[in-house]
Amino acid sequence: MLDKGRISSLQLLFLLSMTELATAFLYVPTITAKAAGPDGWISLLVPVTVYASLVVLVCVSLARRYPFQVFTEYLPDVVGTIPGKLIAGISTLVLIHITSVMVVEGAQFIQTNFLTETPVLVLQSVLALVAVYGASMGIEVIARHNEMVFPIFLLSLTTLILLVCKDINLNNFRPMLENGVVPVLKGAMTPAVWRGELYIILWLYPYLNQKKEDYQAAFGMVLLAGIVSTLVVATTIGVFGDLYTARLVYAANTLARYISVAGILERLELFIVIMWVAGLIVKLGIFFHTASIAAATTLNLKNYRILVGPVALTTIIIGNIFYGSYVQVVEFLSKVWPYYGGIIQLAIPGLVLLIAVLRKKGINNEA
Amino acid sequence: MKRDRGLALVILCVLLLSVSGCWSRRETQQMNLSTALGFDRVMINDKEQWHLSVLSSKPQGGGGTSGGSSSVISEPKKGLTVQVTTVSGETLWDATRNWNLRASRRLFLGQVLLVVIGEDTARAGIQQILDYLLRHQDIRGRIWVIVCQGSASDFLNAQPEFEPTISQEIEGIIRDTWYRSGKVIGIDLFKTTYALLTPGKEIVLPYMQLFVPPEPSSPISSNAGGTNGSNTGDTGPQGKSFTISGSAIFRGDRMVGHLNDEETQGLSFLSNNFHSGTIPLSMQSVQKNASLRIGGSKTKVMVGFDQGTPSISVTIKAQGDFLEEDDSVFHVTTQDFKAAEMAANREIESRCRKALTKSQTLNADILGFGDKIHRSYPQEWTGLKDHWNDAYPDLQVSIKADCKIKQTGVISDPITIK
Repeated sequence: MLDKGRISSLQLLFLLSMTELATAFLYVPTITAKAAGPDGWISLLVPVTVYASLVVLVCVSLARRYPFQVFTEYLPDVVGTIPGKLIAGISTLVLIHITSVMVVEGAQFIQTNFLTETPVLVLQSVLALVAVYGASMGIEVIARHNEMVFPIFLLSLTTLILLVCKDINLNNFRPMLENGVVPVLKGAMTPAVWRGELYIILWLYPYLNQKKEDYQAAFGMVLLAGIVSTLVVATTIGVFGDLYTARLVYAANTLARYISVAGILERLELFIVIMWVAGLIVKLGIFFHTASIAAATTLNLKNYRILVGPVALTTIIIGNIFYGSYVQVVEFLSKVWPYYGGIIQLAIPGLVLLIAVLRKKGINNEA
Repeated sequence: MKRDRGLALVILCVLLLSVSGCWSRRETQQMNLSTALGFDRVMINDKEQWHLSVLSSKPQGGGGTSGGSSSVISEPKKGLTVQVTTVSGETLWDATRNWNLRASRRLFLGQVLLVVIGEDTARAGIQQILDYLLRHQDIRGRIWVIVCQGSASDFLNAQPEFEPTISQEIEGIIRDTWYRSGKVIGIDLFKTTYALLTPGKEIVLPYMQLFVPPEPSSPISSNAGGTNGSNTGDTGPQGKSFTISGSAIFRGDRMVGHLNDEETQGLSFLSNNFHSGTIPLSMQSVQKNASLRIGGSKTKVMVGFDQGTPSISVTIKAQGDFLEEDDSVFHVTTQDFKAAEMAANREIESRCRKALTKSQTLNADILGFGDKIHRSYPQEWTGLKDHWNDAYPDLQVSIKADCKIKQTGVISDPITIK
């Protein structure tokens, strides 16, 4: 273990919830409404939760076999040295890749809506710099920081929903399941892999101080994030209708701009910015930390901290080359990421788990 | 520990530099606060051009008079002067940036309350205008959209009668006092877009006209002669004020017709949007000789199907106070209450019917009956949606009003002539 930090199960729950909610609340309503229409909220409530529960089952039972090692550390032990290192390398690259999309998302939102004249590179660097600092301080620092940020984040989000809920038109949810279940499943694809990002529990598990409460934390996240993201999508569709929601770039931001209580309480979109920046820094911190740990363990380094900076720099470079425009981000999120994420989050850990069970590797808790 | 503290200090100092915000700063004296926008599509030298009219407030004298962060109407200030600038461009953004060919300030649209579209432009289609507004990062979904007779650039030059600026006055009419007459259907930018996107639902916007205030003491009509001495016969828009007169109906993004006051009231009833307002009645007479003030109304729309053909039945439940009469036609008796209620029902039904007939002759489903069918009967709608516009004029709609009179004001029986 390269990081000596310890986190409680509540901190783990908050960390995992933040990984989904920090970015999902802004992008998911549009992507879901496009595919599932008025039934978008069902997508988030049922199929996504089922998928995320599968990921939890696979990843936690795999992690339980090596409770004090991270995924990339025990891979060679399970599948053999060369294939193990290969999978570990791929996993590390994937982590860096998806983090680069997050960096881009974060900066693009602020640039489009608020700081239109600031170069996107500056925004990316500022966000990444803070996250790099957090990541190099270790998981415990991120977890404690998040313990403070996450409740505020959740409170702001619920306040926004409460303030706008008087504008909900229930007709916007009808007709329910007009075109059957298929659109609901299609609408669930992107949000599913978004919540499936909790697969980084494979790297966070060793820090958990009460290993008994691992399932509670992971399933708690699936439920908590499920309820919150369902509420966000339902409110957006309820207020704007699925047709307009599908055309918005940042639906939650437009929703916050639409709030008007008695003509006095208006222009609350700044809440969104605060939530966005606070959440994104935590999320980037977690992913920078995880990616650096993964890289360090793959390369058998003794210190992961020297890798945090280079990892962050790589994400910014990849982000700017491949995801420089909005269409590239959205095409990736809605067309590539669902399949790609499914393989990374469920198929590979599932395969590794299967091999571990067959070869009787690690501690066998079930028996 | 010591080293960390030093590092933190350095980072804080570096971050402090970014807080001062010198990068792309906007000072208030370089900004132009605009509160209304007007859009016209015109032909200039055989080329189609957009006219963008911007109503801006210029704070005069000591600074800091215009900093209100919410759209609450401020007290009329003597120092606040209002100015309209009209610029042209090939597209709307072209016009927006061309504004700076004659203005030294930056156009700031975050405080815009009102969007005015000229009638001819509305008849040619408003999709591009809506797109421009929705795409703009400073414009919010709550701004009001109206259609005006004539051109929007003229309209914005009209004089408000009760507030410092035209945008505040119109916002007051649409947002704060619309329900007093029941003849105003206010709709914001988001709701306009919603009606444009939703199948089986068409846009209705408030329609406004200019008029010369007939009152001889009105400062507006005299103001026109004073400032613009050359033109005395026909006063320009700066000598006129404005009023809401009914609403504009659209089919798709094109305006196709106009509802007058009465029909707009009927439309408010039909769309369950009538909160308060007066209905003139005729009791034992051809003339309108009594008034009923409606205090609340609720409309239910039911969809029925007869062999695949939809029919709509609308029931309106309203209540109100009897407030005015002539020739002692109304006494506090059960019969007279019944008679007045019957007269009110007839009047409400006839107003609703007029609005409906007009929308059916124009093929514009402004009441959203198609949307209603879609939401309640999705299966039947699949057969209807492709030719809904053609089927709408033949839609059978039954309208039934049920009005209850509660009070009679401060006196009971009429003041009879001895």
